[in-house]
This record gives sequence, C-alpha cells and structure tokens, in this order.
Amino acid sequence: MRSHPSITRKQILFCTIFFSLGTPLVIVLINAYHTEDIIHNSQTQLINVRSLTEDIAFRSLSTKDSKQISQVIVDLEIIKNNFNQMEENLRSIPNGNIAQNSKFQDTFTSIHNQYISYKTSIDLIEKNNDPDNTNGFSTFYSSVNSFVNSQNNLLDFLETMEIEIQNFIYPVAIVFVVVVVSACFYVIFTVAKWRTRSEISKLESQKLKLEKTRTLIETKYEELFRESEGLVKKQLEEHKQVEKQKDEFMSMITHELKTPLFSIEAYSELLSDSAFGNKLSDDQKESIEEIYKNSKNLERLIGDVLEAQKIEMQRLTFKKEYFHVSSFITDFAKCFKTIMDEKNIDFTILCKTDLMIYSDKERLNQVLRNIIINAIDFVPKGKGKIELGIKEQGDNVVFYVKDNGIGIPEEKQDNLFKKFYQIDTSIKRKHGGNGLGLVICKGIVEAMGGKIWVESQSGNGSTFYFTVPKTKTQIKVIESKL
Amino acid sequence: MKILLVDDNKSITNALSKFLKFKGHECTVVNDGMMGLSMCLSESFDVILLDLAMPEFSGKEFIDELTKDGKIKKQRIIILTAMPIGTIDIEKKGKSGICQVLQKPVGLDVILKTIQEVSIPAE
Repeated sequence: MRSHPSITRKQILFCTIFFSLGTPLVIVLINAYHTEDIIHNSQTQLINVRSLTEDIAFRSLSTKDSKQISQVIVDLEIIKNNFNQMEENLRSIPNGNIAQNSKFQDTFTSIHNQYISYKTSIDLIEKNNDPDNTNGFSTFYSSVNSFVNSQNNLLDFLETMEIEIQNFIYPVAIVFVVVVVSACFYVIFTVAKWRTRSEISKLESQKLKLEKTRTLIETKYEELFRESEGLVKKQLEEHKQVEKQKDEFMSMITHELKTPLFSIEAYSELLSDSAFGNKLSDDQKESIEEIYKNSKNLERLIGDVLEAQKIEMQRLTFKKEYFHVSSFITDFAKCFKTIMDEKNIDFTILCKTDLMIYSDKERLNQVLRNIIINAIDFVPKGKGKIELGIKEQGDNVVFYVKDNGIGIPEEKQDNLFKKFYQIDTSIKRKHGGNGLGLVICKGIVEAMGGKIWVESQSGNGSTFYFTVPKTKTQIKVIESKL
Repeated sequence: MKILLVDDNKSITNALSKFLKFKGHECTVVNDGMMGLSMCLSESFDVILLDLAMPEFSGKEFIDELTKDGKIKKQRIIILTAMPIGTIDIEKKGKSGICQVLQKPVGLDVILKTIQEVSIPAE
C-alpha cells in the first residue's frame, strides 16, 4: 500500500518564516534597486544638462548673436523641463527620504534660483539685443558658473546617495540570498525526505507482502512436511509389512519344499542301504540313486535361491575370525582331492603367503567351492588342469582358480555374474548348474568388501579372481543387481 | 535308547522310526504337538526329535510348556525343522534342553550321529 507524504507543522512554520522574511526583503530590494535606478538616470540626465548648460555658455560667448541667444532660450526651456522631470523623479522615490533631505532641498532651491538668475541674464541680453552689453554678459557668465556649480553640487549629492543605497543593497541582498539558499536546501531536504519516506513506505509494503508470502509458504511447507511425513511413515510401514510378508513367504516356501525333500531323501537312503535287508536289482538301485541325486540337486537349487534372495535383500550374515590363509586353503583342497583324482584332474595349489586374515571362513569356502565346481565341470575329461592360488595385493588377498576349460567369449563375460545367466543353454544341459552360483559368489565377495572378475579367452581356459580385505573392514551393504 | 519323535508329517516319522528302530532304538511316534507333550510328561525319553512347524500346537509351544515347570531337566531335544535357521525364535536354548538344531533335509546318518552325541541314559 503506498502512502502519500503529509505536510508537517514544522514545514508550515518554515514556510511562514520564509515568507515573513522573504517578502519584505524582496520589497525592500525592489525599492532599493528602483531608487538606485532613478538616481542613476538622474545623474546621467544631470550630466547631459550640465553639458548643455556649458554648451549654451560657450555658444553665447563665442557668437554674442541675438539669433543664437534665441536658440539658447529654447535650450534653457529644455534644461528647465529636464530639471522638473528630474526633481519629480527623485521626489517620487518611496519613503521620501531623499525628497525630505535638507541638502537635496537646498541644492534644488539653489538650482532653481541659479536657473532664474541665468534666465534673467539671458532675458536681459535678449531685450537689450546688444552684443556689446558687457554688464549683461558679465551677469550671464556669473549665472552660468553658479548654475554649473549648483548642478555639480546636485551631482555630488546624487553620487553620495547612490553609494548609500548600494551600501544598503549589498547586505540586504546577501541576507536574501542566504534565506533563498536555505529555503532551497530545506525544500531539497524535504523532497528527499518525502521520497525516502515514500521508498520506505514502498519497501514496507513489499516487506509486508513478502512476510505474507513467507507465512503462506511456511504453512504450505508444514502441510507438505506433515503430509510427506505421514506418507513416509505409511510407506515405511508398508515396506516393513512387505518385508515381513516376504520373510514369511520365504519361510513357507522353504518349509514346504524342504519337508517333502527330506522324506524323499530319507526313503531313498533307506531303500538303497542293503543293511536294511532290501534286495534290489542293480537297475532298481540305480533308479533310487537317481532319485536321491536329483533330490540333492533340488535341495542345492533351493539353497541357492534362498541365498540369492538374502543377497538381494542385503541380509547376508558373516561370522568373521582370524585365520591363516595357507591352512585354510590346504583344508579346502583336501575336500576336493577325491573328486579330482576320480576325474583325473591335475589339481595344484599355489599359496604364496602365510598371512593371517580376518574374514569369514565359511563364506570364503562357499565362494571357492562354487568356482572350483564350475572349473571341474568345464575342464576336458582326463586332461583337466586346475590351479588354486593365493597372493597378496596391497590391502587385499587375491584368490584365483585357473582352469584349462573351454573358456568364455569376451562379450559374454559381463553377463556371467547375472542371475540365471548361462552362456549357452546347451551348456546348461551338458554341465548342469542353475545360473546362481556366480551371482552368489559376487554377492558374498562384494558384501565382504572385495571384488570378483574373470579373465578368459574362448578355447583357452578361464581364471576367476576374487579379493578379500586382509584386515577388519566394515561389511559393505551392497545393492546387488541380480 | 528311548526316543520320542514328534512331527506332523507322517511320511517323515515313518521313515525315521523305521531307520531308528532298525538301528536298535526304541522309537515312539506322535504326529501332534499336544499329544507329544502329554506323552513326554507321562513317560521319560532320552532324546526328543521335535519338528517346529506343526498345526495347532507348534514345536515352540511344546518347548515353552515343557520348560515351564522345570520338567525337562535331563531330557535332550533335537529340533528337526525345514524352517531357515535365522527365523527360529527360541530364546531359552540353553535352559530348555535343546542340544542341536538340524535343518531338513538332513542325512539319516547325521541324525543318528547327533542322537548319539547328545543322549544321556534315562533314569
């Protein structure tokens, strides 16, 4: 809202003072200048009259001619008129100081007297019309001198008056200028003040608007915050509910799948064990073994699916401890000795360190077992070579499994660690596997703070590497992209 | 050895009882948690093989009821469950006499070995 500036009492007082002082000063100054002007004009006129008087005297003296005398009389009339006008002008000066001045009166009285005397002497000359009238001229010259002297006296008086008026004008003019300048400053100051007030008023109006807007925004923000808080709480609740349902579903699935598997495996064991007095043919025994084997495969698949699910839900648990990698790898290799011998695989261990690390043995075992089983599946029959190695690399220990299998084409290596990926479906049929082994390996290794990768060329075997930190590290929460 | 087998799945109890009897143990089979509890309170067993997820009266309730009055001082319980290990909510593992938790499916030889490890002769 814009407010207009109002006139204050102070401003009214200032205006009154200004006009009370300024108006008489202006009148006084105008009068003074007018007076000075009249005096100045009178001085000029008087100088002209004096010149004319002297000219008449000169002409009369040089010619002594009655005709010239007649002209002199005409000129004298002009002089007289001039004086009358001059006197009238000077008397018209306001406040009458000059007209009432005794010197002024004396001077004019003297001028009038001298004029009369002058005129009389001229008249006398004219009447006699005698150029040789010496007395007449003698009187004439004397009158001229007296007349000129009177004029000079008047001129002196006027000069004195002019100086007095000028002396009066200057201080009054200075006071007037001071008053005017002060008024100007005051006006400028007042206008500036009005403008400032106007700006302040404008700013206050804007401030008010902004405050209203701010209040509105704050209200909206609070509303939104409350809404979003409620939404987040609701979503969290829903998320918890979904998680709980997932858990329950997984438990139920696990239970419902594993319970019948247990029955199948238990009966298969009972049937195949000759100690129970079963007399089965070789074909029957073979069939039961197939049932048992497939049941075990199904059990492994269920286990892998659950493990992959745990990785996806970031619920892997670790039991870390200090142990020597060399003894760990020796124990691990022992478990595979029989199968390696059976398949005539050249299995070598290269452990270049006896470092003690802080890690989860069971999980490391799980990863290595997956990789080794894959290697066993893919090495050529009767000529297989597998090398299991460990080496230090900075803060990590690197495990690797090198085989002389069929190798993996470079363009397919990235997909190896994706869920249910098989390089070739025919491979799956030939070698088995459910496409989850390496996914689980990746999840475990990354959750332990390491990384896993493969180096391979089609037809030239593969080497799988993975690292684990040597010492205590915070177990990472990995968002596994399975 | 006197063994009580509590599981609602008859297929499993049949297979296990056959196996255990063949191995020379005295095996009582109950396919209901409540009946199992009654049996357990009326008779003394060296080892109880107990399933957890049973309808009406679960293995957990069985344990809670059995340990309430301090009746299970000398009996040993082997839990035989298909539930994931992490989801088993049994707090009084030490006091309640639970000696092992085996997860189905488990080999019969493993069950036998565990029974031998945990059992003590009944009075």
